[in-house]
Amino acid sequence: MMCSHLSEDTHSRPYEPAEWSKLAEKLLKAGIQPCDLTDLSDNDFLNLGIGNEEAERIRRLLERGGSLAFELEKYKSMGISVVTRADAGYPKMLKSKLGKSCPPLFYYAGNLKLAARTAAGFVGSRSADKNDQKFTEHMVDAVNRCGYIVVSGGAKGIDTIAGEASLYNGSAYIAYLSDSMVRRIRNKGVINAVRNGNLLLLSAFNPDAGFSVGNAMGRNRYIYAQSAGTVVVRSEYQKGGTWSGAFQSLKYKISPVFCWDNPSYKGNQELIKLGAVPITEEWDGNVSSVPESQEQYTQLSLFD
Amino acid sequence: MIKEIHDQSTEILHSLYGGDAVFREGQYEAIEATLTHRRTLVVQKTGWGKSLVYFVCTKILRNQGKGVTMVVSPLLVLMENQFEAAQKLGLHCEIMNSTTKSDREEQIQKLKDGAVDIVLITPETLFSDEIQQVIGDISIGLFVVDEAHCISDWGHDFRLEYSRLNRVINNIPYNVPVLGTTATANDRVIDDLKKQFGDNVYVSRGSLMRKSLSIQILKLSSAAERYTWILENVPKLPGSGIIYCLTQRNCDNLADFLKQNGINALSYHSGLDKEKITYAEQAFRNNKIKVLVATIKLGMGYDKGDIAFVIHYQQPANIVAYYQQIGRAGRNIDRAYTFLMCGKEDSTIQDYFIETAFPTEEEARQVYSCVYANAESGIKAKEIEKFVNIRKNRIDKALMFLVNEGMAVREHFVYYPTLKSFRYNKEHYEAVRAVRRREQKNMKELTETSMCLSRFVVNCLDDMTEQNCGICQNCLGYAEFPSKPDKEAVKAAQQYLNSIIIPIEPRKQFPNKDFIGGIKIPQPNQAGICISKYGDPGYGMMVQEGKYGNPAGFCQQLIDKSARELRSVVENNRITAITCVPSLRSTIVPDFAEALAEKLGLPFKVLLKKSGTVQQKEMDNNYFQCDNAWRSFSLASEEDLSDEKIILVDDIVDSRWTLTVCGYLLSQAGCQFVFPFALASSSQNGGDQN
Repeated sequence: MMCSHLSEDTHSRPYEPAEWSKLAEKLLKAGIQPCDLTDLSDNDFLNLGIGNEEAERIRRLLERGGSLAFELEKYKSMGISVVTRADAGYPKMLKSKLGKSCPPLFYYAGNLKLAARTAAGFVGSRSADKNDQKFTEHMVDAVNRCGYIVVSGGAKGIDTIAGEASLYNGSAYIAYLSDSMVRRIRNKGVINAVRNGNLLLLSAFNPDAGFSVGNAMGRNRYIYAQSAGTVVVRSEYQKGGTWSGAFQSLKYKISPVFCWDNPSYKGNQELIKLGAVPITEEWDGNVSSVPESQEQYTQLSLFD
Repeated sequence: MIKEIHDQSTEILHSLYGGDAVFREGQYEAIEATLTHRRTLVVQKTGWGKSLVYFVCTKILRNQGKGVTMVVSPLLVLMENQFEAAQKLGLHCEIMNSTTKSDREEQIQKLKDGAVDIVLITPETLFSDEIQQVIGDISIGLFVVDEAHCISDWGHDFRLEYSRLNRVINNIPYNVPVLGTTATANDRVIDDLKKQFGDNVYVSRGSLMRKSLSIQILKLSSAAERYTWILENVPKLPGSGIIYCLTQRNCDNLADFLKQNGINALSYHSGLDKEKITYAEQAFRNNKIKVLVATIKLGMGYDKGDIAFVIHYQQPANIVAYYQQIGRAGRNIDRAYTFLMCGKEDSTIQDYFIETAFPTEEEARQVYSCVYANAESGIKAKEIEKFVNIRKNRIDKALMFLVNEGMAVREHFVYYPTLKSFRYNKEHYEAVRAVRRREQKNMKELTETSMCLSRFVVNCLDDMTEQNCGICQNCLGYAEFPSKPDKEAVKAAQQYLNSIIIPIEPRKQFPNKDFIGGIKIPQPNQAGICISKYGDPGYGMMVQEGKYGNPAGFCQQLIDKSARELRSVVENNRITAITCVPSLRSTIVPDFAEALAEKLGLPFKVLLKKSGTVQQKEMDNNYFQCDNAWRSFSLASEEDLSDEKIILVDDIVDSRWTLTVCGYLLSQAGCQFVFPFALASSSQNGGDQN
């Protein structure tokens, strides 16, 4: 309720992840559960170090409860539910790898239990050619053989190719969407995969939200955090979501980055220089195993 | 905190009704529960004062700076009454329903500004796009579901928009209190509501017995007997009252009959235009008429305190609906009279409603397949008609079921599948049907019991009181009003019933562009007539015998009656010939048309022919009916019909597609004037309950 963007108005800005973490910490220290917020007086808030203005903001957000219920019902009727950081089903890998900056809630459709499985990430450009497709499918076969399911961003191109290949192999697929969840679940392929329990769609953004560059960038971190290791199929150099996502993951060591050693892709070559593990068609698909020499190289190159 | 609530509530009560006023039994407890307990269910009889509970709560919550009280109610009439009551309390109230659409923008602004204390809103308006888009900006202090039994599909009056409400309630956080109110919920419905409202619901439940109401059972089997009884006894009854009929046509005919016989009566149902409805409501409210002849459109929550009598022209579907309907009477008067007419023909229509309350598995599956096949684009109800041979209202019912079960969602009248797999919960529907059958059986038992009639009714609603009302025919040991009408007078009523003519409204459009490249029919038929309802006593029965008798053939009485009704049509429009809808199976229609033509002194012409196809009555929806008729009929010759003005005769009219297609063909041959005529109507129109 405090963080959802569903029923947003001008007077009451929902809490952003980091803000919410701060507030939750204050409450926790005072031994107050977030659900008790409704019963606090001005004085109680002051004692917690929360000023009148913020107390008012909290109250306004809490009062949205009645109207928020309508939005939740709308999505629920479509099969979209909400999982919050306090729920047991919340993706644990995100909590442990992203800490306070992981989103307070996700909208999700499909089998939430998949979030507990070990996954291999796949990222790459929205426009993929035949070779990219072939390589991706080949790599998905490899990771599936090692027992990994696939996690990607559910976008056109590499994301979708990887996801569909994994489903085709009888494995499973987690997609962290940045937009249009409502539209995506109106697709027979998606419906069937969800019904078979092999698909999980997650979004930290309003399920009706359209595409935005910011949201697309933001969710890349979730893919890396969810995965034991992520395969970069095709990245541009110093621009685009694939580049920045991989760069961040290398920098903050969110999870190991594997990169197709394709000499004609400059972005890929530069990522390898920055420490990504180069892979080719022969790679065994084991995203959990990183050559030792590679790790050292990562550290050296990133901070020089 | 509790003390504060008590003091404030009492103060509000005194400011309303004076310093001596006290709460009725349970009222204050319900207020306290709502304000402290967060989830409350009030099950109390009509007139107990359920609305006072949320008015007082609103006053208190608003004084604390809380948001608006949102009262969801299915009833337009009720809202007007509530509005007045809210104003008396100094509460700023807004009504949001289809009648206040023009004020919507202003209302929404006021709601956003927090300037409204209480809003009375229909579920349809609440779930409309314009409200859903702004709902996030509205702070809700108290959420009230009026007529809460509509949420439960165990209830007798389950409604689709209400099923969405129960999911909303599930998602309302505990800091916003939720109050449900109803007068008609038995144990099973209450259990179901408790589940919907979440754990820990406070239930306020009192006696359902209304001691001011007397019940008399009238065993009268024919329509003429019932008409006559009403005519003879309504003038003896005090004040004004309601006669409940099951169909719109029943209402119109009976109101018309009473008017012709000097009783000030008006018909009231959803088939009337808005002006007539408003006029009837006001005339009744202000006691300008003696009796309102209504369908159950005038139902729950209608708040006119001095309704002195309620007559049921037919048995209602079940005992719960019956309790609710007689409950309209005698709210603020000491004594009111209710009469229940019953006879042998009653149960067929009721059985039909019970058996068809849910879609069949096959219907649900077929409609679902259409929705699923169009997952990306979605599909409208009307488009589904083209793919499945299922009646439109059955398709609608199936869609409602799919939405309610979470297998489909509706957006802007377009249906999409959800992630939930198709499942037909046969056991549940069977169980609900069994309950409805039992409630129907209770209705029949009521007409035969020797127990106090009021007590029997409330016992059926799980109020197991052992008290008797003391004023019904069983308590008194005699009937206060005659149980049979005068025999001679019955004949006059039968004559009136025989004279009823059913209009055949011309269809003006084809179901889609598949037929003539456009939808509009260039020259529709004239508004025609039909002389009976198929199978009804009198002419309707004669038609049935003519069609299936041995030998088959329509009798002279039908020919004479038809000629009488058509004489003026022939003269006023200079009709030149009679033709008929051709048939491959028998000659009874052309034989009849020919005899009719002779009687009217007109030539009988065979202008149309039929090729062998499937019988029209096997076609279940507009698209299939029109398509079948379209492929069955053609012109018999290339004769130019420009000079002809024709009466087009058929035996039975139902969907009107046969008459429409035949009329269209005649007009294509140049005919300027086609007047459709049928002996009987078997249409379900008028069989609807609103």
